Amino acid sequence: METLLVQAASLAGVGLLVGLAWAFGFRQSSKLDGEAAVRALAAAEGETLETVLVDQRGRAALGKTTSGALFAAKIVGGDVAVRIMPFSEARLRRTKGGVRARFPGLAWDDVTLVLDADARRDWIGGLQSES
Amino acid sequence: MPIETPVWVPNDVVTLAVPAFIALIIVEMLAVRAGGHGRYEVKDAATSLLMGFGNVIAGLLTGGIYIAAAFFFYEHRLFDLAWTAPVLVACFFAEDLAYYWFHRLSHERRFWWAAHVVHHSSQHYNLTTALRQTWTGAVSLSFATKLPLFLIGFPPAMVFFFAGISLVYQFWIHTETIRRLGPLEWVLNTPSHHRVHHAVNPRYLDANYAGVLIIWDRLFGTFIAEREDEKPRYGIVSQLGTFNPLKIAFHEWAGIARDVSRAKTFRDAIGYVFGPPGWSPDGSRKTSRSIKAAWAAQHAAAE
Repeated sequence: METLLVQAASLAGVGLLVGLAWAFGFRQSSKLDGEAAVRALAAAEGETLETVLVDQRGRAALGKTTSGALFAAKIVGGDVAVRIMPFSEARLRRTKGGVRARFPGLAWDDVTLVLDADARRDWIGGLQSES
Repeated sequence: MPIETPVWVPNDVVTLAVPAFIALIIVEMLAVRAGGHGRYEVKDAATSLLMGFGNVIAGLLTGGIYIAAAFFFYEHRLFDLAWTAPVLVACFFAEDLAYYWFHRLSHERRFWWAAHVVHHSSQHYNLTTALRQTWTGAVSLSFATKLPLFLIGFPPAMVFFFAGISLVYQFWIHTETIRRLGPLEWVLNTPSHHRVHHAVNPRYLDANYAGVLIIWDRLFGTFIAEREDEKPRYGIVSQLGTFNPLKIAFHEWAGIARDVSRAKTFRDAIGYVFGPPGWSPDGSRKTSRSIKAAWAAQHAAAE
């Protein structure tokens, strides 16, 4: 019983702190600000991108590196995470408004890119041929 | 027969410290809000706190493994060590040294990294990061480096007490709000030293494994000082793309399972499990060592 009470109090503490973080305004979300920003992220990993697709909302991007690998970038809260892997490891499929990417393992959630018509054409010409 | 504890020792130092943890996190949030060093992000903080809560639950479910092992070794102890001042001092140092090796092993071997990676999986570095803890510590036998202490004859309650003190101590060093602590930086693990430990900058990788005393890193050659001209970037080499606590807790274990299932030889399978994080048979993946070597080569060429 005492253990249960302690855990309930701990959970209440978690709730309090999350509520305070929200109330203090720590809700900043980062954004991928166009193709140049995505290319810079790839460059920081020592890669150059041939093709880049950026989500219209700036939440994620996919690209093909000059070495033929898949480059993915996504917003994680106020930060960005990137991943480079063979195309064969990811599952890319077209959705109504863009592209959805599923990655191997548990380290990344799926990424959905909302794309305009031009970008979707790029997708057809670029990334899809690899997947 | 176990020697009786002659002084009152709290069963769980960490639980007693939880109200102080909450108060200090609020103070740090206010300091950051007021423009002090540091960053908070609500989803990241929530995830860290939930991982901490999950760690407590996992401890209740699996911590018995550690306790059973501790008492088994203590039953076969070499010496009867009483609760005297010299023994307490020796136990503090011995526990801190055992922590250093546990921590180093947790970074240098993938099997233990799979449990410990959770603690490094945030790109933030604040007091909530301290609470982002593993759910698989006991089942991965990460307490193994502590077992010699029981075999020597340190009473389990004494070792658990100092382990709790060490964990509580390590809470407050997860902050960017405090910069440097003068001469204390020589002896103690400080926020500055631990920022380096959490950094993914190649220069800072695999350093500062200390619990309370930084002397072990200085002694064993793993100490790296924080530089004013290179701000630490936090997290892991391949940053996570999720806030899902279950995925965070088990992603590296899933990665190991996936690699082992694809291993072509038994040797490769062993390498995937017990090699350094990032090890691969053909060397195509990045390890801390290869990242540091590439950085050093690049750095040397630039000079």
